[in-house]
Amino acid sequence: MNQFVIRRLITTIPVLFGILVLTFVLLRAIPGDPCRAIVAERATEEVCDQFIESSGLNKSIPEQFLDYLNQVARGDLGTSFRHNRPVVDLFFERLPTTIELGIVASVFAVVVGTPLGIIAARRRATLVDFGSMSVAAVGVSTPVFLLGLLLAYCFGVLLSDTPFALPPSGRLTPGAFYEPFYVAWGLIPPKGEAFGFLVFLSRFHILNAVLTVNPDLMTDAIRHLILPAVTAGTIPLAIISRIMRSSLLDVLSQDYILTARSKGLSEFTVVVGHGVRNAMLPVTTVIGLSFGSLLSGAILTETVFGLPGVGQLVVEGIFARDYPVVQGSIMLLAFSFVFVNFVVDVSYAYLDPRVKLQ
Amino acid sequence: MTNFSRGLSKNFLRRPLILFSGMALLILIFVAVFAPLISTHDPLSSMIGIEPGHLPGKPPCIPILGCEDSLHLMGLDLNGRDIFSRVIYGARISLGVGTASIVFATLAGGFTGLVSGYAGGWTDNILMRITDVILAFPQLLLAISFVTVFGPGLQNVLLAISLASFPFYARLARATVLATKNTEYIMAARAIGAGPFRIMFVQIMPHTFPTIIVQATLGLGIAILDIAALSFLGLGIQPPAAEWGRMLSEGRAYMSTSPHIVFYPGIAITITVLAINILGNGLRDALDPRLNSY
Repeated sequence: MNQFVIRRLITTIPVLFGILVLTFVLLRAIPGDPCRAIVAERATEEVCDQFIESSGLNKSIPEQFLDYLNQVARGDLGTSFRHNRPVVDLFFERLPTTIELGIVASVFAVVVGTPLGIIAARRRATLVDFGSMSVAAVGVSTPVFLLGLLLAYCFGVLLSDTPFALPPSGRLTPGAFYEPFYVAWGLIPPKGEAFGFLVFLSRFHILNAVLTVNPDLMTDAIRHLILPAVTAGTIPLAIISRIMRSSLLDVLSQDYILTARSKGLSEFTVVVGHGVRNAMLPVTTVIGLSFGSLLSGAILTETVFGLPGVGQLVVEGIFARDYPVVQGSIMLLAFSFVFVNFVVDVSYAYLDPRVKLQ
Repeated sequence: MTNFSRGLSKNFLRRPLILFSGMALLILIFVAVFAPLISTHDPLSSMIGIEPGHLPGKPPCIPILGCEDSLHLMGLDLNGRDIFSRVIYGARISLGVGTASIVFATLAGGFTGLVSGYAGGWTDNILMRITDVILAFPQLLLAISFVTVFGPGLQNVLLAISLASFPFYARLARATVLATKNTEYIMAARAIGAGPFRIMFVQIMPHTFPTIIVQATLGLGIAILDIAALSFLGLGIQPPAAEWGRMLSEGRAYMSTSPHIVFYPGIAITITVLAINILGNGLRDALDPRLNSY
């Protein structure tokens, strides 16, 4: 197992290096004068000279790349032009919202998608199968932003006067009382500005509400996340249910299922205990791999629902021509994608020892 | 009969849903090609001031529901343009740009995969590490990065989508090359003096077609969604062009008063991608011999 982890770890090194090269090229590939493109209307001769000097653009490309590597190794991804703050700080401020969205969306996708696939497989070639697979087919074909807009319209406008109404935008209701848990616990003075792990944790609103024992804030935080999570989770849900169906059909035709049945086990034990358990293997991979579609989905979902996450940070950065923010965020998102794929591969090898032999 | 055509006739053409999707796609292609004949208005012209009584954001007027005015089947958008005509013209952009980007991606990916698999060694290693890096980015994120650097617009969207999807085809082509390059008939071709290019492009390349065609069909659906997503974010096809994602984005702020502006282009994207996905899945199943055992 350790050998497999090390081998897999080694293969990620060139990929990580490639990501660094690509994000380095990103800023330098802008056509025309980089100063005019980046600094835009503020680009006077003096400002440009200063900009080229400070960003090291007057050096040779290999030198610039070494500087860039050096910077990244020190955790310095540059400073945002717009916010005049380090990109790393901005990224980690926004990350908790995206992670919360990702977790709730994944839970939704797994909790709804898995039973949907099981039911479809059990009732193969019936109306139930056709219906659930049609839902899955429409799910993967509907644009994330369209689904988001339709859900926001239904639950935010049409049902606004009913108990089913859900907030169509924002992370918390404006004016909601929010107190970081470390302040409630008296750990750090309220004006403490240092960015630390506690501050990062406190930005997970649901977790923070639990830690401060604030049920109102928790309900508010969850209610604001339902529509975005359903929106971002629909494509993974559709993929999970399809894989679950085909995987379970495959498993149920195996001899050991026949043996289990001939032993007189109940249908539930055969399907769930013997069938689903083995059919879950490819599903776990898909759950991990759907992180990519969740990430792309998060960019669109956060834009539709006005959620202050990493996706929105990237989109805002693009429109504000805040290139360090775009460059840094894209690099960190790609790194996290590689990391998740690594964890998926290792966990798959742990679950299915045959993988290690390949 | 080859396995491919046998699989097609047995699993593909006998399924009503797949036939139905194929027909829907044919209709969409027809609509895209003959858009000037089908559309009722110029997709870019505003009706404000031209047709009295037509206000921006006017809801659809359907004669069967008792509406006497049948001029604007899907209503008007906020600039007073006919939504029906814009949806019709939108099919041109989505299908056209989507298909072009997939054609580029398959050509670039197919060539990379062929060379990589056939040459082996360092060439293979370098080319595959490059594809690894591109695959390390979620497709939409990479397309966004590309468009951020080179600017929005039709041509850059096309290139962005091609760049983000070519590694899939490179991997598929390479896998087929590795499976076939040591077979006896390739050795025979080499023995009679066929050069590497002849072997790659005449002997091996046809074997990559079935898997690449299936992947390209499924990839077309993703490409159309990505084009719409880029345009929705304001990074894709620029106004006033009639593009479905852009239309959705423009109508977004007026969803509560004029939902039809978002509804029709949204339905158009979903139907197109659904038809392509069903067709792609049908093709994949037709080529998967395991399916016959079910």
